[in-house]
Amino acid sequence: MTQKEIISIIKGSVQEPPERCVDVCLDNLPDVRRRPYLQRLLALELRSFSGLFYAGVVVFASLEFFIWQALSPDQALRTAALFSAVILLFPAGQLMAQGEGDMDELERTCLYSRGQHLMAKAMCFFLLSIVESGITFSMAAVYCPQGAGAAVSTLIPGLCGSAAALWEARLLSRRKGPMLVTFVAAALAGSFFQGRIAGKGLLAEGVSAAALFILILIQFPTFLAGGAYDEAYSI
Amino acid sequence: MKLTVSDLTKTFGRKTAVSHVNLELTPGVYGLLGPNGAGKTTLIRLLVDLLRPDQGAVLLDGKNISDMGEEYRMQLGYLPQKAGYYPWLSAEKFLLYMAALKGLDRADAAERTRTLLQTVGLYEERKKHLSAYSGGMLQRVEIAQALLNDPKILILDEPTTGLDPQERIRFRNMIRRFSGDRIILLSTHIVSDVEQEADQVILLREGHVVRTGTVQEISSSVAGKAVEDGTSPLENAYLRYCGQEAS
Repeated sequence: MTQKEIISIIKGSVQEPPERCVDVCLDNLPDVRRRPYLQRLLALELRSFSGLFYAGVVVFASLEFFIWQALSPDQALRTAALFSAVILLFPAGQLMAQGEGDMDELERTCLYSRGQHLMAKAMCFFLLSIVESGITFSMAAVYCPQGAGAAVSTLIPGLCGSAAALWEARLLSRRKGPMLVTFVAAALAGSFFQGRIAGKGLLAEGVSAAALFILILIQFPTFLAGGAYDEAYSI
Repeated sequence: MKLTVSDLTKTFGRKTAVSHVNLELTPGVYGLLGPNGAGKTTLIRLLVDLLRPDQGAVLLDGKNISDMGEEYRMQLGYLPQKAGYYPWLSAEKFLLYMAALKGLDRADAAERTRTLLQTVGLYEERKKHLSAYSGGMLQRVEIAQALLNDPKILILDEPTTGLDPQERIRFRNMIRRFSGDRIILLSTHIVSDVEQEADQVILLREGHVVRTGTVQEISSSVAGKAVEDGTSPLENAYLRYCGQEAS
């Protein structure tokens, strides 16, 4: 909008009765507020993570290069799987277990809706998983005789942890502590089964990972539908 | 501008936290007083659209706030009772982050952040991580975030918790400067905060509004009745209407 147009709006509104002129002026002026864009919210969510988290990701990614060179492919796959579970664990608390006394309550009263926040949080989670998995799959492609496909099993501990933590949050406490403990326990259990599943071939790995992923997706909407302080809230 | 609370009811399981509350808030400072468990926080969460009522509605100028969504939130400043923060961010970065979430552009956000940090007396310590802040300092940062978008409706749940007497005076002055054409709702159980600041007082007990009026009206409504030792007239009225016994 040009300066001329703004001046004409102001002049026009002055013609109105005094009690209406400010309202008329405001109604006619364009809305220059920032519109809520998911992309911008995603950037803000990523900005809200601690620097230590990003340092941790870099350290784990660097370590992966060494483990693939130093360990046998089987051992490297198992270690990489635990790394990916730990990397997921860092943001899990901030992204998923929100309730009274957490930033979620403040964030939800800002420009973006609860649905947009949850979408951005979920996207952050998947973005981080994809980056981390990308490194593992690339390394597996180079060092594993079976190729990148072998790395599918590395997703299992992280997926087990996420599925179990969501189940715990949905049905039991919805508190950060128990959620994270469940995540760790399930991820460790998942890493135990990972070796067995990896030995049964790519199909078994893929089916297991897909089943766990579906389990997460099924639980996700129910989980996202509420916070600790409002079990009845709907997106 | 008028915020209308119409027959608002919210139940959690068997407990009715807020029961058939009717209020009309126009610009001014309102003190929401009630003992612990009276339903203050639930009422506030309904007013900021964090909770959906089981019955009734909150209307801003006739429009249901749940339908207004972003349009309502843009006019809202909110300080929760237990406000969250990211301990690894400095006060300045935290406020800039909140400003971005509230849709302020970078120049505005930087300007508002600077002004508010000065107002709450934390400008010199703006670079410190929030994890290093005391409870009172954190509360001041949270008050600042509520004011970032220059809200038309400011809702503060227990805003003076953790503030020392000097900070409390600073807060009162800030509210006095900030009021005007805004609706400000202060929820507290500290009667003296309301006594000095509020144009209107809302007394809440067991989810019901038991009395509304100015400090004078409410105080005088119990005039002539036995006064507890050392209590102010409003404290005396609070004790009578809210069923609290003087300690």
